[in-house]
Amino acid sequence: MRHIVVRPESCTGCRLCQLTCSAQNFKLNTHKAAHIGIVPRFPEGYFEIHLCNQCGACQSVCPVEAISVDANGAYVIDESTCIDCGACVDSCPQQAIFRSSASAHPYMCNLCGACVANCAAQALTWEEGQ
Amino acid sequence: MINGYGGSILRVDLTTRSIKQEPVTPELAHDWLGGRAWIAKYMYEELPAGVDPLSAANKVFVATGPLSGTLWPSSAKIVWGTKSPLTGGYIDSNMGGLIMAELKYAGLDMIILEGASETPVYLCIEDDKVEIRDASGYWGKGSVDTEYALKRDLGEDFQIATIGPAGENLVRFACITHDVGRQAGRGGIAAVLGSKKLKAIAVRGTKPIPVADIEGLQKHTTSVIDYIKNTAFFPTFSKYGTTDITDWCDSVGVIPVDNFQHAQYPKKDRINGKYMREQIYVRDKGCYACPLGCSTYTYSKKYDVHVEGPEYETIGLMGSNLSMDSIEEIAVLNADVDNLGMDSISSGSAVAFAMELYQRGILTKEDFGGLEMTWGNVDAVRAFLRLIAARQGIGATFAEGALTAARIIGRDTEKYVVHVKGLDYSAYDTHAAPAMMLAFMTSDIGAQHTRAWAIVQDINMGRDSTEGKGKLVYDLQHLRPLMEVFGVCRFPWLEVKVDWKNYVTALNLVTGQHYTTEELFAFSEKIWNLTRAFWTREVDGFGRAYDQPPAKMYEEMPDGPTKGAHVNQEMVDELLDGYYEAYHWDKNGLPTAERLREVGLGSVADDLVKRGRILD
Repeated sequence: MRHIVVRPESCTGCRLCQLTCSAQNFKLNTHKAAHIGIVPRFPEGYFEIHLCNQCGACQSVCPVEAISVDANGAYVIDESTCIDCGACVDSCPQQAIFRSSASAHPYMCNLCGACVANCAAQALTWEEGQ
Repeated sequence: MINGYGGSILRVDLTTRSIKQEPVTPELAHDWLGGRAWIAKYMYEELPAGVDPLSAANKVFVATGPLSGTLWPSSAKIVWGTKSPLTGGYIDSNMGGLIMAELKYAGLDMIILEGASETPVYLCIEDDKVEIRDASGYWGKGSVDTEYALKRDLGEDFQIATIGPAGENLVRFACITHDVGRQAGRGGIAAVLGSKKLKAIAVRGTKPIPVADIEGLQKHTTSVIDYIKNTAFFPTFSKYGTTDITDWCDSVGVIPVDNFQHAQYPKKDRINGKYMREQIYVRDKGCYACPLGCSTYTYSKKYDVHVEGPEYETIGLMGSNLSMDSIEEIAVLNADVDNLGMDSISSGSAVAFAMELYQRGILTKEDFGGLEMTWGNVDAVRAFLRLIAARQGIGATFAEGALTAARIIGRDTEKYVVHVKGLDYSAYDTHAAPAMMLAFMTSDIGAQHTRAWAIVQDINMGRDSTEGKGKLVYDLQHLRPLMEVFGVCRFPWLEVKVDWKNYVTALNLVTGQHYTTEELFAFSEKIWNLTRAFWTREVDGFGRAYDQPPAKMYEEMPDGPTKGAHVNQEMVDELLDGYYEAYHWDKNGLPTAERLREVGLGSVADDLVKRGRILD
């Protein structure tokens, strides 16, 4: 399985990952429907990157077992089962499950990798893993 | 819905507190696109002729372009414009960051700020909810401090533009700050905001920008980013940004030293990008959607101060031009002017002018309230900057800008001010760079390097030659405005050579229109004629006399790579003749009624004829 590795020390805060993600997954031009979060921390001077690392914590807290792992190793929420209780959002150690007006249910990274291609700073890269 | 646009223009009258939204019409979008073009158009049409820049009748226009906030690389530009309190003519100045996207997510493409409040206020925009709010709790705070305070009070996801004490106190080169260290720096637009008592604009929006072909745009973007990542210059430029040019400017003798008295800096190894990276680097920082990330966030341990930058212009104007010892001194001066809210270029110019007067004994320690204004005296400069921002003591004179300060001081000091049209030179000496000098002379805001930059061409075509350079500058002035019309940064094109055609493709993918390069270049011609017409209308006797280089360029450079170089009147005349000819303007550099009509500005031609500014 491939994972996306984040290197916050390389992030410039440009939001190209988020713009690309929203375009790829929702066909929208915005950084606010992305499966990835970027939080600037200033004046200290760094950017937090919030991205699913496939830890599975969400799956164990979902009361209706709506979360499963797909063929690529990505955690996905079955929208027909999801009751939108928010337990997964609240329990995610990475703060990487998101809500927006683009979707009726929460969502997280689906490992499509569109963001990796557009991250020129290489704060997001692919890594082969177990 | 119009693809590429938020859809509305927000008009705020700070006197009456009226807030209105006007739709962006398909005609306005198609015929004038946005950004700098909208500003030029609205400024000519809406400002009363002869308006005092610091009166309530002046307006500030803030415009995005159709690519601002889109996925297209470096779509991070928003343009501010007004009648300049520094030059008395047309000014626009653009900034990066993220606010342009947020504004469009709130459904807005432009804000027009009119009138003046009696008490300090800020504008708070949340989608369709727009409020003028009390800003008395923020008034007096620094630009960057205000941004942090507003984010704390409103929410971290608001995007905020602010003015500092300099803007509040009507310093004529006060700047607007956003996203820690992005500025609309030039021409004193923040002083106009200060005169309106508008401390800040805060905005948060939720609506995606409509794009005609989002899949096509994503594909196009990804292929261009792939190209960028593989260019030879990308690793260098993304690491050092504009500071990378410092060594080169020193080696070819264009770096300003001691108020342009020299053009090579003995301590350049202590102020260049490499030294900056070693000494004060914290993080690379990028504007919205930008793969280059050319900005550097830094921390000076010596002065215990964070700042975004310095950029090359600040290194030049507040470093070598003041003979500062190292990048640490430049960083603290940069942090000072950022938080005071003053343009680092004009601040550097005003301080350098003061220091040269001190060097020559024209002004003394007593005149400066006890400050020893010797080259390199960072403590004196820091204190002097605070006097300017507060308009205290002699600071009040220099708060008028270097040129007006010289006119107040008298004693033949105007010859030491390095400016065109009252706007101070950016950090490129032109003793031996005629095309660059012409670019400064003819820039429609005054001496600003971003209108056209021609030093490489000067080196290639001959540094004492004027031949072909009038036409050259004309040509260079035709692509760049389009970047600020589209709402994108010029650096991917300029620094890593992203082909211009890619921008046209992106524009068409976003808008769903079918613009051609030919059409767009004709559009640039219209913009240059319009801003020239604005100057012609606003400034009595405007023309060739206002396109002259600084007196210093006529003096021989005493040392360095350009030793002995100077310009003469014959060269200046040749440059201007060639340039005016390329534009089809008259010998005095005024647009003719015929030419204005040809480029689609018939009503402007009629107006100037009626006012007696040009002949029919």
